[in-house]
Amino acid sequence: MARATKTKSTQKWLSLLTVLMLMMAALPALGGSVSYAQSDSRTFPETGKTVKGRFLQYWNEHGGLAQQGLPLSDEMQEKSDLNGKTYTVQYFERAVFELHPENQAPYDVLLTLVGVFSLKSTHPLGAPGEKASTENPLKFAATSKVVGGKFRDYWEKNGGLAQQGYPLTNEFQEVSTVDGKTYTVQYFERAVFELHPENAGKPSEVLLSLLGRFQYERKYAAGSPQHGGTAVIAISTDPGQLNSAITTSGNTHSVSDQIFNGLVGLDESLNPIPELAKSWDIAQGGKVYTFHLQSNVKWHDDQPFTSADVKFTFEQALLKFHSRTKAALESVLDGIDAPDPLTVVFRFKQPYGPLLQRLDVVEAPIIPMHIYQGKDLQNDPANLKPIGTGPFKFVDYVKGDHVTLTRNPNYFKSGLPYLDRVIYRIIPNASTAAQALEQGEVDYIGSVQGSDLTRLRSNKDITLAQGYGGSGGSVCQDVLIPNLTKDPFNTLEVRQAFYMALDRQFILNQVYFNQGSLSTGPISKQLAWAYTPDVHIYSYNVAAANDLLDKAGYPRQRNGTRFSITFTHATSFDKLGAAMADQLKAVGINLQQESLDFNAAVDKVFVKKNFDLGIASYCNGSDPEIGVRRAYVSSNIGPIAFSNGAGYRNSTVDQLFDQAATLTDRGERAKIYAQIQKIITDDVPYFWLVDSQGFRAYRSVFKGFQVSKGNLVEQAWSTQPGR
Amino acid sequence: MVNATRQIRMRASTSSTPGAGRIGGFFLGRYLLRRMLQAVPVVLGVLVITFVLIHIAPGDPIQILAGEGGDADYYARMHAYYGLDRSLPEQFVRYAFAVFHGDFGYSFSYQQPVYSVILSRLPATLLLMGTALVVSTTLGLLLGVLAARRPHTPLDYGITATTLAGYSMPVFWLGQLLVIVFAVWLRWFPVQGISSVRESYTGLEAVGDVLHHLVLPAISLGMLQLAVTSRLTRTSLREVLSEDFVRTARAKGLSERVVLTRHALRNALLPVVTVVGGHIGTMLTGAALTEVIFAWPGLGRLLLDATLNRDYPLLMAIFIMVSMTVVVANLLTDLAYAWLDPRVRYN
Repeated sequence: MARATKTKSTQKWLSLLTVLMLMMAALPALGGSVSYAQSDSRTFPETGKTVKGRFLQYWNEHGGLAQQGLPLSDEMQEKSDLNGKTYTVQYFERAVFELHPENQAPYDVLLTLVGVFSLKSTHPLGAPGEKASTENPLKFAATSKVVGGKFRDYWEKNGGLAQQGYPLTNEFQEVSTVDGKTYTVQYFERAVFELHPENAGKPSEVLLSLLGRFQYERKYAAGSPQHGGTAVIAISTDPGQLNSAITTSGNTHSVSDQIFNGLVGLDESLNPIPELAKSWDIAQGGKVYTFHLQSNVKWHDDQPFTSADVKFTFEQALLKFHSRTKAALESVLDGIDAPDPLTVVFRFKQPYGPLLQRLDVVEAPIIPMHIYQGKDLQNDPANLKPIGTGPFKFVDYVKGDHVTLTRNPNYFKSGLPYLDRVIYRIIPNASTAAQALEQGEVDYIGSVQGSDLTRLRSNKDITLAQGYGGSGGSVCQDVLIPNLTKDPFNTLEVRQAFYMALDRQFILNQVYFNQGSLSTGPISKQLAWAYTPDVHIYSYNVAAANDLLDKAGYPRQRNGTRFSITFTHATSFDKLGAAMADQLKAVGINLQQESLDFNAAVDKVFVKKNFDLGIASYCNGSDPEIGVRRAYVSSNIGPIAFSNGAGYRNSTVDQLFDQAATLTDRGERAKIYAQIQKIITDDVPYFWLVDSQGFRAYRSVFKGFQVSKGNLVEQAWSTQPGR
Repeated sequence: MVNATRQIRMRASTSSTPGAGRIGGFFLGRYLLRRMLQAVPVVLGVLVITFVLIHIAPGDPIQILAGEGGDADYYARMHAYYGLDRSLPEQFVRYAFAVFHGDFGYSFSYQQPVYSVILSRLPATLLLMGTALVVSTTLGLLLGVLAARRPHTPLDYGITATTLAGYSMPVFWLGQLLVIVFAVWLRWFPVQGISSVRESYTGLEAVGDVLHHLVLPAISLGMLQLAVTSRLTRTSLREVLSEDFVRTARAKGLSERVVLTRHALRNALLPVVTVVGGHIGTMLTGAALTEVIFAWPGLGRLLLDATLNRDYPLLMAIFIMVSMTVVVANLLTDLAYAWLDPRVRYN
């Protein structure tokens, strides 16, 4: 009783204070040069919200409905994401007004930087495939981006810098989450411009994204994370076993990445962030890395986690059985020391730049020494009852059916995870999985077939999100692999002609259903820090391709064909094969299909090397050293899956890759990778098709899925935990 | 096979009313033994042929284990670990030796003994196939009899049209159709799985939950069987009903029910039994597709996964099991045959 009274009086006191603060806040505005009647107000029946006073005046003076849109909220108090201070704000469809009584009019109403937040959340790795406008261009020194053409007209006519802000990107292509079509867009600090050629000549040719609404929904519609609830996640294949330190298989990792942790995590932009290591020092120019571990981390069986676990995991598991980590680190690593329980030291033979990028739960999950020491890691029963340090604990695994995980109440990241239970349901058929999602039998599917996209998009109970990574690999590109060791692809002109004869935009639209963007070279645009657009671009050009083939000495025979080649691929690429065969007829290339199951196709192309043209999804990973190097250096030509399958040899490229690996400064490394990209696109040893960005779909009651990361559900929560 | 059956039935039709067959215990025992011995070379042949076939097919199980990447050293080590670096004949001898000692090896992808992986998936498939087989055969017989009793009536045409449609629909297509209509539109049944994962039911509720999940997959798997059984029953029964001994039976004043069940149907069943028995092998293929569509955790899907993963030990064990099932099914068919037709003797 006493407690209740106290709470009540506190509330009273707080509300009084708020009123006082509001009055004080209003004072300077009243005293400013622009005065307005306190009673001015307008209520919008469409949303039932009222705009009044200074905000209404600003709204009227700055384009009203067309520019700002309808109010979505009443005036409210909000803590700024930028400086942590509390301001009076109001949300509109296309903008968020923030009252700054400390400023003179007209700067007392500022628009929050919705464009900045939006760019960060939709393109955390930077905008893909930006292109500076060349039509009446205006370059801004502040952000070194260019506004031109229709966008410049609109920007200048509609409030310019004050209303729209600086450009944050150049123009680029983006798939609209509203209608799934691709539009040319440009992000500004306070708006995103979208070009609608179907409205040419009308004022609606340039439309603004509803950024205010996105922001409002993101922040308020959902509320704050709640504990409780179960998420059912569909996976297509049985995980088999659940020790992710001895495999890179996405089937195992998709489940196990919730059970284990890496030493270092990766944020949305793939930058290293603390995980089991709370901090680290790099010494001797990148030869020695010292990691300071979190104290009080417990394994799921309550044993303490120590540096000995890290040393054991690397020496006995990762460097022997995790094929990617073994291939990368075994030869460069000098040794691992555990001087005390909370310190781990990695010593390298020479400086090694990319280490921090490859210590996350996908590349290097840490497993318990006390469980595995002295055991045969390949066959230990613990692989089916994993003990980790991660947000979820293993409960049961019914083969072919499901895996159940439960919340780890002692997770070292306090407050996390939110969900009580996560169930992985094994559903091999993609259509069945999509239908199960629609019926609410499952809550998340990790990939969406093109044929299901439209249906799911129109279902408002379901949210679609594009991701660039996950447990099976991240930042992937679909790449055609020509066999450079034999005729005809041993000739540069043939390769150039072949690449130019492919209408890749058509392929992206019709075969990939826009789940990605056109590749320009060996590094995906998604890996923004290492990517450069400044390379040899091969645009679709049938005439030029025909010329090149004539010059290269492959004349058309009587039946119109120059030569025949066989395209060896997994059945999942059947549609691509058909589209390519059709396009290649125009240049007299007869493309025959050899459609095999995945394993057989990989064997034929990479191991037996008995092929003309193959295809693979090469995942770049969080660093070119992880997933780009392997396909281009001559030392990696061998009977190994996803190696240098084309058989490409260029000693300059080999040297540059070696050099880039020894540097720790990203800027310096980026310069070398730019050089590499230029040389490789001149040589065209592969045909880069699409930088993949696949759709994931989930029930809209869920928030916080990390759709591009291994630990998908660590921060996920349900708005209806009782369901 | 059908021709042979026909001959037997023709002879049967000329004889007097078939009496109840009795199976001599001694003869049966010897017969069974002989059939078992005959099965040995069959199973051995399957063992050799499948072993060679799956090992010469392109693909490498280690590549699935590795996931992505890896270096030559990794592959060499893993090949050696699983004995895949030995010559094919040596691998075969070692495998056959182990199998004859009851050891089916260790599954690459599940990292468990093969028998425990198979055992964990067997009940789901038995439930699905058993239900589909029993229900579709019973229903097929019933529909066949109904159609034969009233030939060229709307009922007959209706049954004929329905079963023909069922016969011509591929399993995966029918399965998708059932899901869309009965799970997505009408919401009568769940889309997938053998049980609900969100709720943990016990006792009768759990049984009800599984049955609820069983309906659609059982229909899509059983449809072909139902169609074949009913078509065959109809044709066969029509033929038998027009024979002299049926007329004789009717003339004797036996009730139509007795004529139909004791005289006509018994004869008409012979080809049906042959076909149903022979279909068990085919049904396993259907089960694989059904299990994929409905995410049913059974053996058919395991076989498919094992093939895609090149999980040799698992694949071999499933093939051996399937071939033995077919052998046993054939044996049971022959036994049922003898029970129905006393002139068939075990010699």
